[in-house]
Order: sequence, then structure tokens, then C-alpha cells
Amino acid sequence: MNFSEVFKLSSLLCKFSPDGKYLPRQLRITVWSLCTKSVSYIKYPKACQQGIAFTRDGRYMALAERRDCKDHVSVFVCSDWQLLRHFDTETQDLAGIEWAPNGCVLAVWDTCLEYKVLLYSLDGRLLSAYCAYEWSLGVKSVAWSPSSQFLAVGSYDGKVRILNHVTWKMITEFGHPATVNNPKIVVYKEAEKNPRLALGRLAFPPPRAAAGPASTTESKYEVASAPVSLQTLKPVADRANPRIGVGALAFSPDNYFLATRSDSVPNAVWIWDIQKLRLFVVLEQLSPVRSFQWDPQQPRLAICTGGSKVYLWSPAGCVSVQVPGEGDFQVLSLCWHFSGDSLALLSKDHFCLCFLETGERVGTAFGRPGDHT
Amino acid sequence: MGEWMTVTDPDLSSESKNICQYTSETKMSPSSLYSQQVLCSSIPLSKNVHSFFSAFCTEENIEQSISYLDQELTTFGFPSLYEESKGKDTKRELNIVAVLNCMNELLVLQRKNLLAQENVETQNLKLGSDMDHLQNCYAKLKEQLETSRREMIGLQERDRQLQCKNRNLHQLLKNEKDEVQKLQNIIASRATQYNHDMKRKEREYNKLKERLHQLVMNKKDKKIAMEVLNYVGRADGKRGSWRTGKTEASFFLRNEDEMYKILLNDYEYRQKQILMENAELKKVLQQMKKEMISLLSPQKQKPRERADDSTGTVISDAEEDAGELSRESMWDLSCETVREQLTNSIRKQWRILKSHVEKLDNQVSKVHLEGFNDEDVISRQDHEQETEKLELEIQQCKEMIKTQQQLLQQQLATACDDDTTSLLRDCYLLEEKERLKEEWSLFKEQKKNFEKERRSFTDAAIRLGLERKAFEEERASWLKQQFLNMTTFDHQNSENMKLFSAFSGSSDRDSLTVHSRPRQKKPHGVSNGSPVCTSKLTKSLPASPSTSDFCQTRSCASAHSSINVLNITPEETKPNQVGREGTNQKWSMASRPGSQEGCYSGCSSTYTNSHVEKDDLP
Repeated sequence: MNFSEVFKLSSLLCKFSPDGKYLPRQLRITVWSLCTKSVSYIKYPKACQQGIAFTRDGRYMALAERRDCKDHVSVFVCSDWQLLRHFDTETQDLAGIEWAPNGCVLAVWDTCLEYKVLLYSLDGRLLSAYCAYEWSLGVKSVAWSPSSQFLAVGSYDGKVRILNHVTWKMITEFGHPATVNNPKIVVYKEAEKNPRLALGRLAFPPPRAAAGPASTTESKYEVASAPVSLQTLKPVADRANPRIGVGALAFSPDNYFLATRSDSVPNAVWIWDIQKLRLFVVLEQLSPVRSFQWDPQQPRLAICTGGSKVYLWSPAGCVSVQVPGEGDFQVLSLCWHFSGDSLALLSKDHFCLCFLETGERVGTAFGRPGDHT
Repeated sequence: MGEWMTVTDPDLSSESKNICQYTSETKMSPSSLYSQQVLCSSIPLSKNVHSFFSAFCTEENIEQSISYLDQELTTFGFPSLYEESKGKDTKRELNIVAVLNCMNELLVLQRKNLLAQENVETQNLKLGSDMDHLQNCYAKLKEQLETSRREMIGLQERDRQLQCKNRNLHQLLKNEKDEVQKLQNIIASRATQYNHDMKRKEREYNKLKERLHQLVMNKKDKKIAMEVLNYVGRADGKRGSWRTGKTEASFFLRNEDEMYKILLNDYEYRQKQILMENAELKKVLQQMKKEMISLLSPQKQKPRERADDSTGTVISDAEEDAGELSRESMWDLSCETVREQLTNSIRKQWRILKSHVEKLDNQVSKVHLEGFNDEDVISRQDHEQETEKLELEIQQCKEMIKTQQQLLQQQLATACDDDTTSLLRDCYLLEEKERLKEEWSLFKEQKKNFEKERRSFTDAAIRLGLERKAFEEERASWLKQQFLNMTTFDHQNSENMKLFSAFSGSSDRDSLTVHSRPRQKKPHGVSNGSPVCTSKLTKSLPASPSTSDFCQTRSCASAHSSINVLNITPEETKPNQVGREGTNQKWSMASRPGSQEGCYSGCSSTYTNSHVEKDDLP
């Protein structure tokens, strides 16, 4: 299977189904079976941010379509690509769909011009509609908790609203203020460690860490005491897609924590304790956070900011790890392995595999996409 | 003033002229005029006055002046100055007395007039000052009135201004609201416009996409975007096909079924979770209720009038709730009525508890605030008094104990009186005496037992002797027989000897067991009849214990003495001993299985029987 060909052509338009067998493509959905050499087409897919969603067990695929200026959702059975259900949604312009981890509820949200989150059951019935406010910009990001108990909705007003799965009503909302006053909340601030010049101990040759360019300085986390004020970014008022609101949401796999990023405070990652429904930890980096992802097995969060470091947080503490290597490795995105033992760090044209051992050592392995490794 | 002046003017010509001159020269206030006049009139001794007075009557016109004065005086009502005329033509003589009288009268009059004048003048002064005062007040009040009027005008002005502002603001608000409404309408209209435009554009876009598809499809037919390497082909070399086009009913139904199954599983799981949660919460609520009831119920023992109502309800509630609880636990349903009952009862209890706590709080606050006149404070005082009393009592008791101890020690240490010492000794020895008595009785019993046993032993020994004799005789007879039988077989003497030795050995053992037998037998002499042991001795070979007689089984057991050793240690010697149970018999038996089992079981069964018997006896 010549994967390289595939990636070049479709670049970011491809999606693997959870059992790895089928590979649909946007534009017109072409479903390739990787086992049998067969192809199937699905018309009228919607070219939105998150138009295709597979259930966790890979049984069903939900596809957002737009026909006659109305949004529809089609549910397909993945085993034989039968159309199971087809229903229209009450959205103006569907922006995204996502299955709950238990595979029974589909969350559908509308364009950012209108705050609307609709919840459909697997068989196409509308379970509930939620709208927090009108007229202002609406939903920016949505995340399900792993137990399907909560649905976190992040919106442009900088708040995350948690809906519960019993009544589908909001149980709490989390705000992202620029100052943290509560002394119970731990705020970790990344600070640069100056390369220590050991007086009276000059090692020849100089250690490898210092051999790198000046930009790769070590950094560490310091605990800041309340009240802490975070760096904010003032959004440009007259442009579209302003940098405000909660842009990224992720639940930890044990359902204990929710990590969020507010785009108006771009350097910080907020970690909320879901058991107590309050803010737990704030991590402030030196540069804006690009992406973060939870370890699929334990409550460990990996953060990357586009620099050459990867940051790991767990309830025990946090650490910043320099990616070793020649030159400057800009970590643009990261991806955990399913077992939680290793982490793939991706830069523009390189990737690095990072192994986490039970000891504190972190090993790395480099690779390049396209290599036959 | 002027009037006064004008009256006197014509009468007193020269005088009045002077006065006029005087007054015309000085234009002063009336009061000053008055004062001047008084001065003028009241000081007759000044030079001016002298000249003034001399100006009226000179030496030439005495007669004229007298007649003039007489005229004046008579007009005024005074008596005439002339004497009473004797004749008409004679000259009247001046009556000096009349003149003096008139003078006196005139003086008196003058004084009166002066007084009156003074009074009038003072009154005048007073009135003048009053007038001044009133005028001042009037002026002040006028000023005040002015200022208050000005203030009022100012306030009115301000009020008007504020009302204007208010109106303006209302107007602004209305304008804003109108604007908002307008903007909303605009937004709505624009939204519809945009929707319409978007739909139009979407349709265009779809058309273009289809066209693009068509164009692309033409190209795509030539090249497949994916190349499958190492493809595992099918048996017939054909490509696999999707079943998307054919909607096979079975597949469809199967999918539907699976979907519904998944949904139902999910719902069931969730319902289970919710039921569990419900059950837990109900448990917690019931526990809370129980605890609340238990908290409130002890209060009913204390005599509090206020709490009577609540305790009454508590008791009734407790009864109700007990029934409820049993009902609920039995059913454990979640039907409306049960739920409502639970929540209502909890609410009631909570209210009662709350009111109770509030009452306690009030009492506490009263205690803090008020003095010692409250009932509750007195009760506490009572408590304190009681505790003090108790403490005193305790102390007294302690002291008494101490003194008693001291006395005891003293008396123990020193032997004061023979009587007392003997008494004391008696007291101490009583206990020992009693103990000794008990031991004595024990000893006596044991002695009796020993005596009995000795007797039984002697009897047994006698019997044994007799039996031995019998046995010897038998042996002798048997030997004789043998000898007689075995006259031909001489070489078997040695066997006979052996047999004899074996037999004697066995007989010895038998004798031993026989000896032990009667000893063992004796305790059960009450329950058993006379032992029949001699006859059993012949049955030295295995014989099943057919009877349930304890002694017989023992004997048969003892007959197998080569194998069995039966030790019985009876601890109770008499069934009529007090205080001992029949469980102290011990068996230790090393028995061979098989043939002995029946015996053992027989023994154990009899043991239990005897055990039962022994229990019945005391």
C-alpha cells in the first residue's frame, strides 16, 4: 500500500475509520476498502470542520450532508456501508458532529453565528436542543467526556458549559478570567532557566545542551502565588474569526480532568477538576499553546507550543522536556500512542517519537515522513 | 402735647409766650418738649422764673391782678379771694386765708398734675420702646419672608429643571428602545436576505460541484488514485463489490436490530445506574430520618412544657415511621406515594429538629443576656447545687472510710480488750471455720468412699481367691484329663507346658482385668444388678455384647485384654453429689477396628445413656 501517494494527494482530507479498514475522502466521500479492492461513493458530503464522525467502536459513521440548503445527517453501518438513518437537523449551517463515546448519542452543533447544540439519539430522534445565548458568536469547540456523562461546549464568550447526559441541561459553566485569585489553584509558569556557568568547573568539551543554538534554552516550571495575572491578547474587533473564546477542549481518559484553552489567553492551559467542578491548575507557557492531548491511558497531558519543547503535566507535577536533536525542532503538533507509552511529535517535515519509561528517562527516536522505517 | 400747649397758651399770656418762645426755639421730640416744659414749670426758683413771675404783677397793678386772679379762680371753682362784701359799693378786702387756701389748692393740683404728667411720660416712653421693638421684629420677619420666598422660587426652579431632565431621559430611552427594535428588525430582515442569498449560492455551488465531478470523473476513469500492492485476490479473480446499492431487506433489518439493541443496552445500563443511585440516596435519607428521630426522642423524658407538642408529634411520627420503614423495606418501590411519604416525613423531622435547635439557641442566648431570674437558669443552679451536695457527700463518705480504716488498723495493731480481741478473732475465724467445715465434709465423704472401695476390694479379693481356687481345681481336672488323653503322646509335654504358660499368662492378665473389673463396676452398683462375672470368664473368646448392660460390655471388652486397655477414670463417685455434672467421664481407648467397633459403639451408646441417666439423677 503506497501510503505516501495517498497523503500527498489528499493531505488532511483523509480519515481512517477506527478499525483501520476504510478510508473516506472529502469532496465526494470515496470509501476505499483496504482489504477488498472496492470503492464506494457518497454524494453531498458537507465540507465543514468536522463532517465525518465514527463511533468509538467503529460500528457506525455519521456524515453531515447538505441538500437543498438544509443540513442532514446520515448514519451508515460501517460493516457494509448500509445507510441506517437519514434525518435533517434544525441547524442553520452545521459546523460539526461528534459521537458520544458510548455510541448512542450524536452531538451536532451549528455555525458560530448561532449558538445551538443539538443532541440526536442513534436512531435519529432529537433528544434535546441547547442554546445558551443569542446573537453573539456561539460554539467554538465541543468535547465529550469518556464516560458519555458530560458534554463540554466551549463558546466564543470564553466560557465552557458542561451539559449532563440525563437532562441535557447545563450543570455548570467555567469562565476563563485573566487573573487567578483563588490561592487553592496552582499556577505553573514556565520560566527560562539560564544556562548555568559553573564557576570553577569548566567542562571540556562543553556539554551538548549548550552546544545548540541560543534559542534552545532550558526551561522549568515555577509555581506562582495568587493572585496571578495571565497574559491576554486583545482581539481585533473588525475581523472575522476573532481570537477569543474557548478554542480547544479535551477530557482526560479517567474523566477526572478537563483541559481547555481560551484563545484570548493563548499561553495558558486551564485544567479543571470534574469531580469538584472547579479550576484545578493553570499552566502558563512562554509562547502560545498550539495543541495538547491527553494520554489515552492515564491523566497525563502533553502540550506543545511550537517551540522545541514538549510539556507534560500530571496531577503529580509537570515537566518541560527539550527535544534533543540537531537543529531546531519545532513541535507543531503531537499525538499519543494508544498504550500511553510513547508520543509522536510532529514538526513541519520531521517527526519524533518520544518514549516514556517508568523511570524518569525519556527516550526519543527520529523519523521523517516518507521513510520506510 | 400740642393740645396741652394750646390750652395753656391763651390763659397764661406772658408765661405761655415764654413757653412758646422756649418751645419754638427748640424743635425736639415731644418727650423732650415735655421734659422741657416740666423743667420750666417745676423749677420756680430760677432767675428766669423770678423775672417771669414778677412780670405779671407789679406794684402798680396789684388790684387788677387780684381781681383778675379772683376771676380766674372763681371760674375754676375756687372760692373767691375777696372777703365777703358788706355792702355793694365798698371795696372788697383781700381774704388772705382764702388766698392761702387757694394757693395750697393750686399747689396740690400742681403736684397732681405733675404726677400725672410723669405717669403719662413713662407710659409714653414704654410705648415708644415697644413700638421700636415691634418695628424691628416686623423688619426681621419681612426679611425672613423675603428669603424664604426666594428659596422657594429657587427650589421650584430646580424641580422644573429635573423634571425636564427626566423627560429628556425618558425620551432618550424610548429612542434607544426604538433603535434597538429597528436594528433587530434589520438584523432579522438581513438574516432572511442572507439565507436566501446563501441558498442561491449553495445551489450554484452544487451545480458547479456536479459539473466538476463530471469533468473529474472523466479523468479519473483512467487512473486509480490508490495503488494496492500485495493484493490478496479472491478465488475467482474478480473484485469485491460493495453492497451499498442493494438494500437487502435482511441486512437492513439486521442493522436496525443491532442499532436498537445498542440503544436499549445503553438505556438499560443508565437506568440501572440511576436506580442504584436512587436506592443509595433513599438509604441515606432513611438513615437521616432515623437519626433525627433518635436525636429528638430522648427529649421527651425531660419535663419541658414547650417541647411537649413536638415530642408528641415525634412519638407519633416515630410510630408512623416505624410502620413506614417496615413497609418500605418490604416493598422497596419507587412509587409516588412512598416517595412522597419519605420526603414529607424527612421534611417534618427536619423542621422539628430545626425548631428544637432554635429553641436551644434562644435559651442559650437568654442565659447569656438575662440575670438569674429565668426558670432555666434556676434549673441549672439546681443542677449545680445538686452536684455540690453530691460532692460533699462523697467527701464525707471518704472521710468516714478513712476514719474507719484508721480505727481498724489501730484495733488490729493494739490488743486493747480481751473481749474485743476475742470477738475480732472470732470474726476472722468464722470464715476459716466455715471453710474448714466444708473441707471436713468433703473429707468425710471421701473417707466413706474409700471405705466402700476398700470393702469392695476386700470382697473382690475374697472372690478372687475363691475363683482362683475354682480355677485351679478346674485346671487340675483339665490337666488330669489331658494327661489321661495324652498318655500315648509323650513328646507333646513341652507343648502342654507352653500352653500352660500361655494360659497362665492369659489367666494372669485375665485375673488382672478381673481384678480391675469389680473396681470399675462398683460405682455403678446402683444402676446395675449384681455382676455376673464368673460365668463370663469362661467366655474369654470373642463374644458380641448383645446386652446393653454397662458392666457386661466392660467385661467383654476386658476379656479382649490382649488388645484393649480400657481406662475409666470416674471423677464423680456418687450420683447424689451436689454441684457436679455428669460430663466428666473420660474415655481413652486404643481399640482395633473391626470386631472392636461394635463393642466401642456399644460402649459409647451405653456411655451416652448413662450420661443421660446421670444428668437425671441429681
